[in-house]
Amino acid sequence: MTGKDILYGLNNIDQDLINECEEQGGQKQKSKPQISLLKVSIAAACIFMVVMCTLDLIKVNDPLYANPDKIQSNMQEQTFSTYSTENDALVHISMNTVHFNDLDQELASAPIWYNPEMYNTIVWGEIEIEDYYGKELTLQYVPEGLKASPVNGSATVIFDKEGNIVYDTVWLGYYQGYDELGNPQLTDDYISPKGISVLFSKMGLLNDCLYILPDNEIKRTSIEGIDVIFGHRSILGCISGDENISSESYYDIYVAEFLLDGIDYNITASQMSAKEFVKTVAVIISGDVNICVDD
Amino acid sequence: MDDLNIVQLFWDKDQDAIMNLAEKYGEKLYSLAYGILHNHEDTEEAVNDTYLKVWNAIPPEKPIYLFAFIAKICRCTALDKYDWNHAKKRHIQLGDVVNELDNCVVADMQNRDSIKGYELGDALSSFLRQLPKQKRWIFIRRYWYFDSIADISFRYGISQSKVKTTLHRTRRQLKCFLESEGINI
Repeated sequence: MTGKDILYGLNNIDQDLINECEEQGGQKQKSKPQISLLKVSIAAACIFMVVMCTLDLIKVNDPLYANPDKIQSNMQEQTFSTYSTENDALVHISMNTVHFNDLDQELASAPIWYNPEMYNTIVWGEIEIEDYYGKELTLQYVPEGLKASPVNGSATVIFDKEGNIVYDTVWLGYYQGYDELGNPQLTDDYISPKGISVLFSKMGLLNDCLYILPDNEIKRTSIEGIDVIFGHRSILGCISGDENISSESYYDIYVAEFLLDGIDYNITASQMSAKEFVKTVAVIISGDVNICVDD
Repeated sequence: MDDLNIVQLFWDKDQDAIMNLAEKYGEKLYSLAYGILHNHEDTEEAVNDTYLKVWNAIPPEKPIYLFAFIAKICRCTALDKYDWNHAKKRHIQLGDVVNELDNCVVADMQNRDSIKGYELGDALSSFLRQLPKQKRWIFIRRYWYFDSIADISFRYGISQSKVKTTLHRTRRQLKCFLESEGINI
């Protein structure tokens, strides 16, 4: 049998499949504007800078930094009344069983300069990424209102001259919206992007998260048998000088770190609810969207 | 005129049947055949042959999905006219499509006799039904209608790279499916 046989075999597929494709899948749409790889790279860099700058600045400006107890009280104020239990969910997770470690700050891994005389930089597309990681790197569950970044589906990886990979980190972003360059739009409330980003690396080249507690006291949450370190921090949004600082001036940053199928994950969410974040993480781990996160 | 009425005209052996069929679906049939033959004269001939075959087929057939029924006849007719010996010289696209599908074939299947068309058609139908709708449509657009990657990208408003990736994954799934089904060829 050859490809030609399959081509002829397709003559005999059920007619309702053709009819469905013709009637439902046959409407032409306007093509999306194509975004060049350069713009995509710039967008990725900008997203990274915005997140990092935010995290650095709050260390100086955030009064909560001096009083970490408030972080816990801020979290306890959250309510999840809009969520209902789904009886047919395969996995139920209770928020009571999820432990959020107080996050001091998240740092990028120290940037390494790869001498182009010794290393080759290659841009991977979705196929190469999937071949390397052995699975499709995408979020099966994306919280409502978030859209995939135009950067998704490509990654800049680095090989040494002998063909060994030395940098394999892949970034995925899902944000509320994007500007013309593909950068996430900033929210009016906090002048900060709202959404979720995920870093993947088989080599463990991810951001380092610093927690307030020492390493041996960091608590882990088990989701489907995978140990996850959840972190949280309240961030003071960008406010004008004459505004009073209140609890509403803060938004939440959540992180989750875990190792799954030999791949290190680092997930960061900004201005999302804890429950949505936990569900996003749980779907990545279980591979099933049918998950219910209870209060 | 709706499909039921057109089918009825064929059943009544009314000469207007072909005229109405051509009026409603002529362009689509032409486009389908041209996607295979890339030659206006051959395409014209294939479409006219299709009308004749439909005339002979209805009755006894009473198709539920008229377009799918006539498009299948048109596709078969055009493929029969296609000169595979000169495929590479005349038209790259169909050769590309075949090359893409060659990757779906399990190595030890290649030297065996062809599976019967209907058996393979049933298996392919089962496979396609398992796919999410958009994946299924993209696959059918590419390998049934022979649409180009650019056309599919435009049709669904997704990037060409997304179309290629989707097709790549679907072909890989198809290969696994054919292996797992152990189709007797």
